[in-house]
Amino acid sequence: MSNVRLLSSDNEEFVVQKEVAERSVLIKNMLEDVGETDSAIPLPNVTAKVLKKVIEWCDHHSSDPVTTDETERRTTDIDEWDQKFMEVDQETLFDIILAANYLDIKPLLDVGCKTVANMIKGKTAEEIRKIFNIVNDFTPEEEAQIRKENEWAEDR
Amino acid sequence: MNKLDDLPTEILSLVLQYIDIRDQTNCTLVNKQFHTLTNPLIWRCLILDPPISDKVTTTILHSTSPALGRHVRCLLYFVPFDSQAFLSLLECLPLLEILNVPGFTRRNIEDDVMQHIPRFCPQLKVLFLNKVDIGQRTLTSLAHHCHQLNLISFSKGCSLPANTFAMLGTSCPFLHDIYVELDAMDGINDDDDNNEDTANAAALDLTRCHRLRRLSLTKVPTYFARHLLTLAAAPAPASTTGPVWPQLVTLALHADVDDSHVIPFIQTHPILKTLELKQATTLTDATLDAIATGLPEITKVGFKYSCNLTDHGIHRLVRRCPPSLMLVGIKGCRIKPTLFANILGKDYSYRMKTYSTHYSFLTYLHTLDPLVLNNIRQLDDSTAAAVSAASAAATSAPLNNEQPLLLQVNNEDENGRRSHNQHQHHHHDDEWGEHDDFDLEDELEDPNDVDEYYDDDSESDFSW
Repeated sequence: MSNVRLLSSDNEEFVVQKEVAERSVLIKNMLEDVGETDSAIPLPNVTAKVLKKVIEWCDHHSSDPVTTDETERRTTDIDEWDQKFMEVDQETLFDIILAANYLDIKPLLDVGCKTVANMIKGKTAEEIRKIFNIVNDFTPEEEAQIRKENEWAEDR
Repeated sequence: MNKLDDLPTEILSLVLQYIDIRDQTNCTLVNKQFHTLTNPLIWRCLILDPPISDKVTTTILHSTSPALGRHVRCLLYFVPFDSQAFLSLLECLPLLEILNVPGFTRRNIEDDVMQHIPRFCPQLKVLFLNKVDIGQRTLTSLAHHCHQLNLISFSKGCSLPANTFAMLGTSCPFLHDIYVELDAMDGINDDDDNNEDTANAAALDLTRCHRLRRLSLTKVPTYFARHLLTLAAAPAPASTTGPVWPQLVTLALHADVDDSHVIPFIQTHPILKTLELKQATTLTDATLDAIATGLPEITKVGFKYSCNLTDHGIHRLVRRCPPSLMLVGIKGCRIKPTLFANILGKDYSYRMKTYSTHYSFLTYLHTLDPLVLNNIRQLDDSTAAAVSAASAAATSAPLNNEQPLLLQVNNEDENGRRSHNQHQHHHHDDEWGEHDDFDLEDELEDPNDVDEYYDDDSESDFSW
């Protein structure tokens, strides 16, 4: 089993099994393009702290079958290990999502997005603003207008 | 600190797709960015029913900036039909892709209403309409505006012009699913002598739709169906080899075609997965054998009122077909359970139908589900041969009696008597709900009463 060296944006090097690193479609494609290489792959968008988490996830999921079925991927619940894995502060959670997006690791991106979605579920607009520290930029009139337009959807 | 609205828009919209419409509604009120991302999701698929239809329609008609109707891609119109309200709503949905109008109306929706839809909604891809009369104006308009059409379904009695397939075949290059339950096809269903030419021309038009994947035709005239299969079995004019419909996976045809039409068709369309032939009364086991040898990917076969099929033929079909075969419908084919007696398994009575007559009870099979199919496959060859031989001796004698007996059954049913195992059958209905698409209803067969069948595995193609 050959290894791959990954270099974080803050210049920390990680040695990872090729199979684990290839959970990232970006890295997989890079390796295919350059062939066998000894030099580290630079990942300028990912810090060491986040990369470490991402590698941990890829390692745990290295033997997962690849699900191509979009609907199945979207509707499956987050498994227990992933739930634990995602118990991090908001900033880290968003960084993991961004890294998963950049590295093109769709299943990890899904888990991240589902985690955020779960934080939104069942909350009022005001509660959502509080959780994510978002400023309300609507005028009261605009807010009333939207409420009126979408009233029907609340009973669906 | 990183905030949710600092996430790239594409990721935030990904998140918003994982929540239901009520949570999405709350999200529209969070801030302007959330509103911009979530509102299109809420309006994307409109399921209009009476409690909300007036309010939603008014909201759409009065919205200007942004025009809410532009978000709508899918409309299910479960509203008592009022042509004026319907058209003024559709006029505001220029990007509509899927339209489903079950048609809660006593009279069919008329051509002069239908003709406006293609102009209002030129992006239409999927069109489900029940009880519509489509005339030249609608047809011309569809062909002129809706080049993206990939599925049409006209059911519950509709009428179409004879040149429907010619027009849509040339103008809609992506049309791959056609489901039609005809009430009338102008110039084809009448008793006029010239009909046959018109029907043959329509069949020829249909064979030119080379992209067809699923075709279901109900209540079509016999000569149309026969001609269609014969044409389809001939090599496509454009190519020297290959079938007329190289991608066809589903064929459902309700017409009296026989072995000579069906077998060549099967032999030229090897990727068929679903084959349903109803009212093909004279089909014999030769068709079953052709399926077993010619269709390696077959998953469902259904026959109805094909009384010349035998239990041996069915047995052979199941044993020769690949394990992908998961359903065999044989309603009204008078297949006795004798040959399958030891393999049907406990509690199988609801897959049969008992007809009471003045003299005796007759029990026939109507569906073989995956469990039974597996049991039949697992029989070792010698047992299978023994079972087969024993039953051949048992069933050969009384054949002559069946015709008068069944006639008597029909008479009785008209007098309102019910079949014996009705209660039991209904008890199991829920449990076997997943096979409902292979209609398992329990009424006594009447060849004139055609009930539709719908291949629902097409659903995945237009859900998004």
